[in-house]
Amino acid sequence: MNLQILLNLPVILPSLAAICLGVAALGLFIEEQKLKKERVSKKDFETISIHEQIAQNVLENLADGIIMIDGVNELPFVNASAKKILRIKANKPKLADIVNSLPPTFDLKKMVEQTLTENKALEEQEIKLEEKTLKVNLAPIILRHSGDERSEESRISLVCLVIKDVTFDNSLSIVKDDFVNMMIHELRAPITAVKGASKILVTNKKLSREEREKMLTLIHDQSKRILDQISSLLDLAKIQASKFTIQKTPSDIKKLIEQVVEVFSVQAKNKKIELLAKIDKSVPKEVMLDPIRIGQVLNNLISNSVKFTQEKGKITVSAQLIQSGTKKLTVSVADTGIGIPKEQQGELFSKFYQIDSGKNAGEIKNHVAGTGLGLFISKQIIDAHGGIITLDSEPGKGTTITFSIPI
Amino acid sequence: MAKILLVDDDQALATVFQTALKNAGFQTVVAYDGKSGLAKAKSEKPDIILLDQVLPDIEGSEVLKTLKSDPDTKKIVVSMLSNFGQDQLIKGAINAGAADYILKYQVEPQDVVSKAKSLLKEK
Repeated sequence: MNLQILLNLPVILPSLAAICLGVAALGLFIEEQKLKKERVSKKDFETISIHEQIAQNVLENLADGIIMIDGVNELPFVNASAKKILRIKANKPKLADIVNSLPPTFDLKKMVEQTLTENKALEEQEIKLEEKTLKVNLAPIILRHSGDERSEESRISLVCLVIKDVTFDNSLSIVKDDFVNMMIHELRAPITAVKGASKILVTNKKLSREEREKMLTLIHDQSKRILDQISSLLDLAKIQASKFTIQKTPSDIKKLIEQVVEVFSVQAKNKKIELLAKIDKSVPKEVMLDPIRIGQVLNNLISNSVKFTQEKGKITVSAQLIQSGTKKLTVSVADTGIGIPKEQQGELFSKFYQIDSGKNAGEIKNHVAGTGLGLFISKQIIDAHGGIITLDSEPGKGTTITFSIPI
Repeated sequence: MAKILLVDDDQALATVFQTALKNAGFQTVVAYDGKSGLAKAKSEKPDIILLDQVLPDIEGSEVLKTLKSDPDTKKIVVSMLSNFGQDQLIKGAINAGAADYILKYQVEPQDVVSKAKSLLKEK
């Protein structure tokens, strides 16, 4: 038996190869339907089905769900992905099983009819199935016997449903949107400050000497903040390209900590936060590390602590040498800030992570400046030193971030 | 002399607006998070609050709701001050009782002074 398949298949399958294989497998599906009708011997069926079975296997194993409906009363073809996505348990699902697995608002029978009547693919639909988001395409498939192409009786009409689970893709796009929003905030805020401060200097002739100096210092500090943000983006690009490196040199860690603490002293004072550095006597004068990168880590950690600690709070930066086995330099930044909920602690060092105070899905998230890339990059820096970075936090009590590096 | 409470976690921007407002004759108070913003709204009794949306502890829109539901603070004129200008946020703030919604990156310090003056007149 030789079937020639004429297709009217719009571009809905994930790839051309899948389409070709799918079509071959579809031939097998139709073949099965015809065999039942024409009572062809089992032997004949086996001879034609060997290579087509391979194709059917491919179709069966596609990541996208494929359902082929041959008229509303027949047993449809349902691949494994479709069963998984729609949570269909039946081994040979009936049309009713498929209808029941879809949301009540999705009238499958009506759409199948519409597809066949109009003889064209329907517009892609996005449907919500519990926590999943699915994209559903329906397209007609017309098949005819060879040598009898014009005969209406030899024509078989089918509807092919392609179901794609886009839940992950959608969440990824939310992450990307969040990142863009965060960068907008991170760059817009200091640029707005520089623009505002310079405008005040230009237009306000009555400024006191103190105010003038404050505006100039602010322009300098905020310009540095912009550069730091750009550097973070470049670091991120380097990390992604696995080109992130450190350069260890003998460094005065005590001086380094004190310098960073000094940078944040004004901000801390404004918030009436006590900011202290406690360097234990065990810390050697010089430690082998990358001073620029470790300075960056300290900068990130202290900046977060200042941001998340309320007025009259306390931030302690301490360093000590731990001598169990290999010598380790341990530095911790402890604050009495708002803390981080347990369920969010595990994700804190991942890329673009920020504490989300948005309660509902789709709500605009509350982006807290400065925590987006900082902790992720800090972890990469500590990793590159062969060290570890850990977090200990309790909501309402405070957060301590500790890193230790072998020296 | 009218008193303005600035609630903004961005110290640099708060300093810029504070300097402009001071030089225009306003008395200014600054809070760097939602909690102290709410406390200062009660203790300082400002005429106007310029409230940032993005705060480290409580979202600005939540601070606004609290201010508007407290008999001590509900009559204070509040204008939101934000780097984010999504319709959803603006509508939400206006519905919750904000008198204005200032987009930080679109204004010069002098514009904030003018807005504050016009908010005082409307009061």
